Amino acid sequence: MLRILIKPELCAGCKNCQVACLAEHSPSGSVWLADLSGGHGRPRNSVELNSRDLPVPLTCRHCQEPECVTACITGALSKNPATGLVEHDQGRCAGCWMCVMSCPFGMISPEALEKKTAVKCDFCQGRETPRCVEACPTGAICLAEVSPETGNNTTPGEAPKEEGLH
Amino acid sequence: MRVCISADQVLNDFLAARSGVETSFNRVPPQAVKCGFGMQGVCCRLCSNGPCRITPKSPRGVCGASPDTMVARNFLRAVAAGAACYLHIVENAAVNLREIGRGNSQLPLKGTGLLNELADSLETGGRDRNEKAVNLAERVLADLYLPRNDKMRLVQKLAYGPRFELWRQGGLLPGGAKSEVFDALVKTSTNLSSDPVDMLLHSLRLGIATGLYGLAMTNKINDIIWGEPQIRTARAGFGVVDPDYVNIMITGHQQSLAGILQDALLSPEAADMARAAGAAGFRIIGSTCVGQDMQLRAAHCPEVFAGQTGNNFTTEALVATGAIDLVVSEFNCTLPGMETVCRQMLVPQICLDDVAKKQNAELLPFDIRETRAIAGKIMRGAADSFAARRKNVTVNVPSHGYDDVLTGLSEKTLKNFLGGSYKPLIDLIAAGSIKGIAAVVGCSNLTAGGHDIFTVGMTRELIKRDIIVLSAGCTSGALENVGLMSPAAAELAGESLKKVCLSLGIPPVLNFGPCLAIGRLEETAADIAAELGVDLPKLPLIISAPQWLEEQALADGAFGLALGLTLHLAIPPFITGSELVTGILTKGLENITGGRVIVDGDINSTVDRLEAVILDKRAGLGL
Amino acid sequence: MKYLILGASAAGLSAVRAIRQLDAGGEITVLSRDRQIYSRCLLPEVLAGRKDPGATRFVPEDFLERHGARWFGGVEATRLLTGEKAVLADTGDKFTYHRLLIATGASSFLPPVENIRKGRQVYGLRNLEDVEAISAAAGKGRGAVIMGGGLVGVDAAAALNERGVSVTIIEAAGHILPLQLDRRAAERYQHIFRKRGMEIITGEMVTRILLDGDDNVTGVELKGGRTIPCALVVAAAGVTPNISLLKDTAVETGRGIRVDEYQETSVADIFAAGDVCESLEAFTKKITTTPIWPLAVQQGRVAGWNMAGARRKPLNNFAFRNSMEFYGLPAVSYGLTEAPGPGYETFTRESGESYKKFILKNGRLRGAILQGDITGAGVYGALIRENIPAGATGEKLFGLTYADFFNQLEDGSFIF
Ligand SMILES: Cc1cc2nc3c(=O)[nH]c(=O)nc-3n(C[C@H](O)[C@H](O)[C@H](O)COP(=O)(O)OP(=O)(O)OC[C@H]3O[C@@H](n4cnc5c(N)ncnc54)[C@H](O)[C@@H]3O)c2cc1C
Ligand code: SF4
Ligand code: SF4
Repeated sequence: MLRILIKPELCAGCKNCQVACLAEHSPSGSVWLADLSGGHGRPRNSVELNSRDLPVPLTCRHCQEPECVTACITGALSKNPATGLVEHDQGRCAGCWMCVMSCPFGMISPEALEKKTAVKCDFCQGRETPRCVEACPTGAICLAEVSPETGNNTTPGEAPKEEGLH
Repeated sequence: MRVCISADQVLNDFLAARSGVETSFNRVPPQAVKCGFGMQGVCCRLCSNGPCRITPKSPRGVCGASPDTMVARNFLRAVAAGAACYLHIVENAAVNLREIGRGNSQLPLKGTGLLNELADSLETGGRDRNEKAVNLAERVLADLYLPRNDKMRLVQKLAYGPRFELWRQGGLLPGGAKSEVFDALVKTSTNLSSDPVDMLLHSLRLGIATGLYGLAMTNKINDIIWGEPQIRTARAGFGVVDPDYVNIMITGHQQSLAGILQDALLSPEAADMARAAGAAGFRIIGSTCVGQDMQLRAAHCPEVFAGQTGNNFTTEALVATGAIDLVVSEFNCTLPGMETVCRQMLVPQICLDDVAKKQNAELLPFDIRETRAIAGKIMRGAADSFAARRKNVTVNVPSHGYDDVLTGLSEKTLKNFLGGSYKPLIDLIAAGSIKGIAAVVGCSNLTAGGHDIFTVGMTRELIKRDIIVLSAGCTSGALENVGLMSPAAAELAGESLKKVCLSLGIPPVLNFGPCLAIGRLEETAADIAAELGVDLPKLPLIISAPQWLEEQALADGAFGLALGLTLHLAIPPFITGSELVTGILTKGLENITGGRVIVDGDINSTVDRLEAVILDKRAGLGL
Repeated sequence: MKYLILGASAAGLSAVRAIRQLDAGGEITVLSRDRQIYSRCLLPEVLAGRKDPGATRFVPEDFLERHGARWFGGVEATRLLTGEKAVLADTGDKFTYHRLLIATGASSFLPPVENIRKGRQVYGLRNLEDVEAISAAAGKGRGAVIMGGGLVGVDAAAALNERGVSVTIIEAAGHILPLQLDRRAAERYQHIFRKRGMEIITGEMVTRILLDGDDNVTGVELKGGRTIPCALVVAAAGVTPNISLLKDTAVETGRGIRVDEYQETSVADIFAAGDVCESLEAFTKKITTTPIWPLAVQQGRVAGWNMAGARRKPLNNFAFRNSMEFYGLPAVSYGLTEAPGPGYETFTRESGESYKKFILKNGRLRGAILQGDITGAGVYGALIRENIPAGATGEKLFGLTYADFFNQLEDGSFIF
């Protein structure tokens, strides 16, 4: 499965991945025109400083056993069995914030403009390379083929594929 | 990753075959990832609390600067730097003219007709040509050095009347040009101005100073020193380089410096020196805008000027031919990347002006009193280089370019060509044979599709729609090297424009030469407007700097906007992070000067929009 | 293998999926009292008129079909015959099994209040039928009393208020949402609710429901003597697991069905999951019921896997987490809401819409409340659940993100 791997030691903290994400999910799709002041919402990824003040780029893991999917009361969140991606159907979302409460990594948030539904990384829906990966000048976030062996947690044994309820 | 491509296929092939040479073309893919904050102009490094960037979570800088303030500051700084470059050029030109007038130089004045005209029209006076030269130069320098609250004196005489009036009323008349630049730096420093509107108006004043002095006045002074342009057919492209000669490549923007080689290389001593080195003689190889300038005035030095090879981004390739023996540079568009190629091809570099000092170049500070000695050193260096390097490098000059490029167009030569008045051109426009005029100007970059891709593609589309194209800047290098400035290009034009071109024997794209000649285009436009009795924004004329590259281009653009013209850019000038600044430049300004910016990165939609503007303006004139 | 599942909600359907992941051929039968598959959590949306009952389905239309399961809706299991390995239904049918999952959830708890069973307009809010009944009883202008200011009570109150019903919440504790929020966060909601015209009475209890001659509700009487006229009462005083069918069986129960970490009951081949069971909860380390949706889904999944022969434990069994939103103000909380004694440090910060509070003991988070700005809340939840040192105190606590704990496995997954 294709996943975004993170190499924080390469991150320059330029936030270009965030600009790229914002652009990808803005009406024009263009980095020139994306509203960085918030008019097009917030990026779905983030770059945060760790306790040593070094930048760490963070994006959704599309977990093996996604807690957001488990917590979702409407079926808006699901794990696509074919791609392994955790998908969010805005139309079904009730904005109950069970997923925000449950993602241990803080990777799903209330959408910043309407604040009525959640938003998360959608792996740029069908784009060959996610926009953030393309935009990273240092290779701190990169695409890799992985064979998931563990869950997103200290799960004993092997967790089989989880599709979620929707 | 694919290497960047050019609109010029021969150039692509040449570079592909020289895989051992790294040029800017190779560096495009590894630099493909751009910083989004930089692109939008919302990264601020003005203080140690920064760099601050605008994001939805951080909508203001630490100091409270809004995206509007950041963008306006960055923009004004860029325009100020660009204006400074052109003002440096005119300052040097004026100093040289003054020194020639004072008898401190051996250089003759080849354009005394123009000098006399200006002494009258600008009322600078003088009893003889020398005094006239000194007076004119001193008046120009005096204006440049005025404090900012003293308006420059020559503006009224240099500007088109209705424009001057509008600028006066709008508070847009520039004070001393250097002070305008200086105060732009003050304004945009840490925690000074935060007013985007004031900063944009300041940019317009810098644009006016740039246009009237940096561009137009530089042209005039160079015409006086080196002779006025004459329409002629010339060779262009790498094909002008003859490997049998000692070839001195020139890059920059200051013919007032590089021009000293013209006569010197024709002297008997030069011939001897070349022969001793084993060469047939010396040749100047034109490149970038200074080459365009020489091409424009090549009627005054036909033997020594081999011709124009190309624009800013062909310079590295030109060195890579191996046939260049020395690079002399005096200003920008001398890419740092050329240094590695020079080292590889064993080509020494000489700089005449420390503002363009290259790391591995020898600095020969220009002094108008020492032109012979300087020219002598350059010749010596070139001849020695020829003798030393030719056996160690492979020379491979591709067959490239055109033999029948129409050059030498200027505000005066075009008018003379038309019979002394713009009336015939106006008639053609009125009749619809020519839909309108597009001034395609500025630089080349490697990002708007690739090298010259947008410029060439857009120009082809414009002429197809019967819009005649006038070019000034690196666009000229692009367009002549793909044949659009040769008469045969008439075939590519729309039916009516084609007819016009065939009957006059001209190509549909007219070569005004360097970016400095944007000043000539403005004068041409003003002449046409005067003939029609209207102000500039009324003309069915647009200006496009599709592949603008540098800060100078932004200063040129600011001039165009002050003139009230519609200005197209394929790449936004790092302003889109501010709704306010973008709004003013693309819309609001129309109510102030009549000018506005259109940003469009797609060739077809650009030409659709530009054509619509032209049709609109035609309608406004009742056409 | 014959699987029988009682309940077609979060836990039951999650088990169906899990079984199918491991056993492609087994026979799966699902019984449910519910005639329709829906998410109970969305009932307030329906009550408020924001969602159609049909839009509460939380699995795709063809879910059961696709998973090869037979479903009998509107069928109630009445008795469990462990000896026969069979379940009797109210239809008279008998369903046999090799492995049984009891996922019958819970029902609204009716507290011992005079007339509570007699009054004709006293409802719980647990089933779609409840919503229909409340809607029918709640005309405009007719008052409603909500007994209990917990999440379901406040949900019901807000929904009715939105429909124009005048609502009074009676809460025994000093503020509403006492299990989920501290006083400050609750007061911020109370303030909003009161501005919207709701009445909130705290530190009070309903002692009697007032009825007319036809047993129609006319009001309630409070302990303090005050009476409040109303036309309907919603009992929102907690839930009680649906375990009556286990009468006379050996299946061990406390408040709910006792299960181990594989969701297996004391009787072999019988499993339980969701609101109906009680298990070792991660935060309290005590055996309790865990009546939240995510745990019902997870327990159902674990039960399903183990029924199908795997030996697998859940990711975690963390029940002390809540999320909510009322009138545009969201909140998430975990663990403690107040420091229970000495040895704890409390950090709060309030600005504009946002209120945050963290309770720390020996450098480990024991409680967190985030109101207004809830982005990134889950990280605090994980720290509490996993009982890992926060690595920060004071101001720094407010800015914790996963960057501070970054640890990525080779396959890209994060762990703490
Ligand atoms: C109004 C409301 C709002 C809520 N909001 C939230 C929230 O925001 N977040 C959260 O985490 N939790 C919330 N909950 C709690 C959540 O709904 C439950 O934890 C969850 O539904 C439990 O799922 P379950 O499958 O265990 O049981 P249930 O959902 O109760 O389902 C039980 C199933 O068993 C069937 N059944 C019962 N008895 C029998 C029988 N004898 N025979 C056959 N079938 C039977 C029922 O018909 C039903 O299909 C809310 C609950 C309510 C009522
Ligand atoms: S949102 Fe969080 S829980 Fe859901 S898949 Fe992404 S990282 Fe995992
Ligand atoms: S783009 Fe790359 S280097 Fe820049 S912040 Fe994101 S991960 Fe770091």
